[in-house]
Amino acid sequence: MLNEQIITDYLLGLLSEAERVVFEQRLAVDPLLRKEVEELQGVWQALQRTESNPDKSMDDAFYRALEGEKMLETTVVAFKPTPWRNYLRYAAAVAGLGLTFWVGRQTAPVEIQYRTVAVQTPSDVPQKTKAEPQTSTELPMELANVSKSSNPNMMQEIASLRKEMKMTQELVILGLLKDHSASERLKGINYAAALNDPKPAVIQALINTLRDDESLNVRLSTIETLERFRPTDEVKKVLVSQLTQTSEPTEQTTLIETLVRMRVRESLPVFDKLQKDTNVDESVRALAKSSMNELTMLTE
Amino acid sequence: MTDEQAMYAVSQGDLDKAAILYERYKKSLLNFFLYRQNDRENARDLTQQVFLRMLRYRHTYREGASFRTWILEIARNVFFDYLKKNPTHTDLNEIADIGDSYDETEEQHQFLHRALAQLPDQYREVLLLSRFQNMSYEEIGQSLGLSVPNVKVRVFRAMQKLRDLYMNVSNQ
Repeated sequence: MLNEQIITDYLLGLLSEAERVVFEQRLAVDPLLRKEVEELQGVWQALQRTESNPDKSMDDAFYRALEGEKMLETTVVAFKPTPWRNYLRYAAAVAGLGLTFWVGRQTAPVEIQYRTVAVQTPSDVPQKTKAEPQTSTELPMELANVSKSSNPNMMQEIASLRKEMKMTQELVILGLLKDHSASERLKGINYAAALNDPKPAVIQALINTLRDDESLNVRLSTIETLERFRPTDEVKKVLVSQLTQTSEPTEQTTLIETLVRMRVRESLPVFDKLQKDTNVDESVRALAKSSMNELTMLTE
Repeated sequence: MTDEQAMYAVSQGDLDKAAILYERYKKSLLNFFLYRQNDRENARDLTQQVFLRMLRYRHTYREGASFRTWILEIARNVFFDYLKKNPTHTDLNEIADIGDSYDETEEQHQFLHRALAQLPDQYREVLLLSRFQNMSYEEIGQSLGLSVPNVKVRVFRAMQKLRDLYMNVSNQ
């Protein structure tokens, strides 16, 4: 074994008794080696001496979060999907993949056929000389008129195009939500809010944003956007969970109001805990208290 | 109860066992972050985030996997995320002044922070893992993609380098 490795083992107390004795005999007769080891030992011990201890506020924060998580575990049992729903989810994913593949295959020849048909547009429809870039899921006027034609293949292709545009939009949104800049992430959230029926991947990205984003404004916009979509059990669960984690009064207020509007009865124990917690902002406590009554009445 | 048994229980819904893991790892994680950036408040927040992620992603823990390696992976991800969100932050550059009141221990602490700030990342990482995470050579090697002899050599060189830097800083 090299000297370097033996010294490391010695300093970390990892030599066997026999090896330690032999090494210390070497140290006794080798002043240079002894000096080196003593100096390194000094550094190692200095590192040990400067260790910091966790304080009470850190402990309190952890145990509060743990209580919140435990409460969530017991209160959101009703949210947990049954096993057959899990299988349905996988089946839906496979079907989604198949559909995506089919759409991809269908869209390849569209451009060529589309030009051919555009030439046959009725004369009363104004012709455009230049194609403008499309930024929304709305189709060009020519194509919209063509879609009224009786050609069923063309109708299918238009539907495929619409789907493809929506997919592109969703990809842009996913990219923006990962951006370093908070304003870009806000932009992504605004685009997402304009979607009618976003993909699970978009919902999941919004959920991740709500949980992990450092910007309060981004999180608040995310809550508003999630509320617009069909309230799934997962979204409800995440909103309740976020209420147990955040200590920002504005976010707490928004979450309480949202959960009441969504009539999430499972949030009642969390409201109750908040209204009793003396560390929570006074206005939030008052809101939690009044919201308990409101939510109870709404869900009875 | 081993760390692995406690974490497996947590992953199965016995959340009370998370407290055991918190008590065992809070100090080492706090110091792990404290020696990567010299801000106690940040170190506390980052430690907090590790335990929150531990709870949040408890279902992803696989029975039998080394808990120490798993939690360390979370800690490193938390720190990378922190650096991404704070690109101007350059680890340990902001070292507090010692001030008027002379305190030998505090002075040594600050010297050590300054020395650590100047230590190359690869050395600082291996020192923090062996010192504050109490990881075995095998675990460090697994985590950093190094052989055990290489880990030992790197720990030795890291200590040598830290000693030289510490002496420079304290003689300034």
